[in-house]
Amino acid sequence: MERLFKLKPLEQIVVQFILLVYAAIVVFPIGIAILNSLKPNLGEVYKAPFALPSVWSWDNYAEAWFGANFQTYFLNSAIISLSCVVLVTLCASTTAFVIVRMPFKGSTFLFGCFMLGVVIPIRLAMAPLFVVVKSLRLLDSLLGVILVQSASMMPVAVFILTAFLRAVPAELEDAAKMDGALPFEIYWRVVVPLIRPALATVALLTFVQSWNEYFLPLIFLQSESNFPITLGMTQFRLRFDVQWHLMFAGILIMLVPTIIAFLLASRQFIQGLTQGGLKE
Amino acid sequence: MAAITIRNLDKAYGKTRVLHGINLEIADNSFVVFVGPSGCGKSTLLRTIAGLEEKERGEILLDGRDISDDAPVDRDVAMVFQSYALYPQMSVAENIGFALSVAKEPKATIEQKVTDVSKLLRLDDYLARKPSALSGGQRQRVAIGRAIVRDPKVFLFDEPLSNLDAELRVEMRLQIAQLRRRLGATFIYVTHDQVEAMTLADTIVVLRSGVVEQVGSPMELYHRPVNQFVAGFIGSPKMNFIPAGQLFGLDLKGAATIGVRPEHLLLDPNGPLKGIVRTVENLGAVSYAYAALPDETLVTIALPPDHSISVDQPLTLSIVPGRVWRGKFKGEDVLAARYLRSMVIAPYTFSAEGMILPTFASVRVFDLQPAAAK
Repeated sequence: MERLFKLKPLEQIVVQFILLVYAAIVVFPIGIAILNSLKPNLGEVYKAPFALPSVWSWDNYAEAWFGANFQTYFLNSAIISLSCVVLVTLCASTTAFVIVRMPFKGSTFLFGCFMLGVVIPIRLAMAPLFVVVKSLRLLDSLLGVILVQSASMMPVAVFILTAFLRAVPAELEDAAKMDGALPFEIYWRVVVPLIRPALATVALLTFVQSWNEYFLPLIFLQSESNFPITLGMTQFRLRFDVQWHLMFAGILIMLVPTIIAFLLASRQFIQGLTQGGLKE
Repeated sequence: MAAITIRNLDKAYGKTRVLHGINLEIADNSFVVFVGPSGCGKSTLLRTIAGLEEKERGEILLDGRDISDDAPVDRDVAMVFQSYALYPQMSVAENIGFALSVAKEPKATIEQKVTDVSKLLRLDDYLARKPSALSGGQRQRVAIGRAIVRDPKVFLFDEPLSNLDAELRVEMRLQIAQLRRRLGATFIYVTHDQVEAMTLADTIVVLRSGVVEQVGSPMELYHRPVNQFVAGFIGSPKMNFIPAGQLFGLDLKGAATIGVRPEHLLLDPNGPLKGIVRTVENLGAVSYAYAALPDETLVTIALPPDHSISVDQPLTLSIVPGRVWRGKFKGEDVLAARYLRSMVIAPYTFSAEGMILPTFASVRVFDLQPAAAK
């Protein structure tokens, strides 16, 4: 990449130092969690929280996984998050495509409504939302949570995708029209492959947010068998209370899918944030 | 057969009217070029023929069939876009075969047609490549291939060479001309490039502000423009427009303007026009001098390659007899008209007072050598 300006050696050192300090601040708690999750008992965690474990005990993970019913929570979280990803990417990209490329009377108003959704937090609408979900008989079901979480992610997703789609040259779609493609074929075969970075960004944001969402499942779910991992962690705390080494293991298990998702999508994600869909 | 008839075609974007009652006859197997300045509606007209823009009023007939309400794909026309508009995620073969795969043609047929087209356009070595791995000229050929593979009756080109460098543009121009001879289809081509228009076209349509100004063969437009706009637009360097009074060293306010092409201004010690050279451009085979007349009108003069003209040199110029284009003359331009008459033996009559008769005041081409031009 072309350098905008060159740093002097001293400036270089200062900048690198600041970055290192920042990285340390971010990594430190995770490091502590990893260390303590591998300690054989609670005593070691209390006595020397920053020391290495006397015995590296991987059993904590197994115990947290099986003993605390993590499989169910994990599966529920996976179902909720993946469904949200599919729903949001599909609905937001088709919505953005229609708003940008097939404008109709009221499409600007529709876009305005989505933008309001970006500004207004969903929690303000919790009471009416609860009534809606209840009247749909979707309380205490995964589907209810999936729909509410997807809807809460839609505004941001539509915002990102419309911005990206506006940068895709319209001549490509004209060419596809001349080739006889119908609107859905244009969307699916021409547009979707071009906005992959934006889709990856949306998918990643949706996945991370719905995986980490605590509040919405808390409101809409009651039975433990439907709990996602965030609510599961509360159950876990109730059950194991002060068993910090097991708690840390549980937290780390919860972190893994987010990290994997980020690693998988990171290249596209960064492209999506920086490139803005410029044509070649 | 692929003859296009356009009748009373109107088009507006909101309140802005971009095409005003366009009427055109495009013959089968002809190469028609739409030219005009930016914003004159030439691309809009092309896109309306393609079906990418909806007309407001009027008809577009292809071989007598009204296609103006058909979907683009049902019109039997194919289009090549200015930016090539290749699908970046698809290979060359997929790009060329896209229309066929949308039409759900059998795979073997698609492959066969793609191979045929790629051979015709010498793209067979690049079929597996993505557009990003191709040069500008190759990309343009893929875009043309995508149009050919559909075997349309009419090809539409929207400034297809404007993104190429000068050398490649010449090469592609020749290839398009060859392709046209081979395919024997009707070509409609939009450009703002004079040379492309003059070299490729059988017929040029000059547009201004959504109105057809003149339709004719390149030479017809060059020698017999119907108005000052066409006279100034066709030809490069453009025609000189000289206030008629300058012929006598007079400043005739509101007087008529005459048009003279740079190659029809001659260095002549007895000539009526006086000027001072401001710039000289030596291009090799031809050179151009830009001289300022006493009223600061800048005129372009084509010079032979072995000229000895230099900057700031005073010049006297005359006009090749019969090579003056004139616009509207008013009564006070008698002197200019007399001069023109003396030069070109105008086939026009004058009144006893030396006033010009109304016939002379109409806009007509002043191609005066052959008597038949009347």
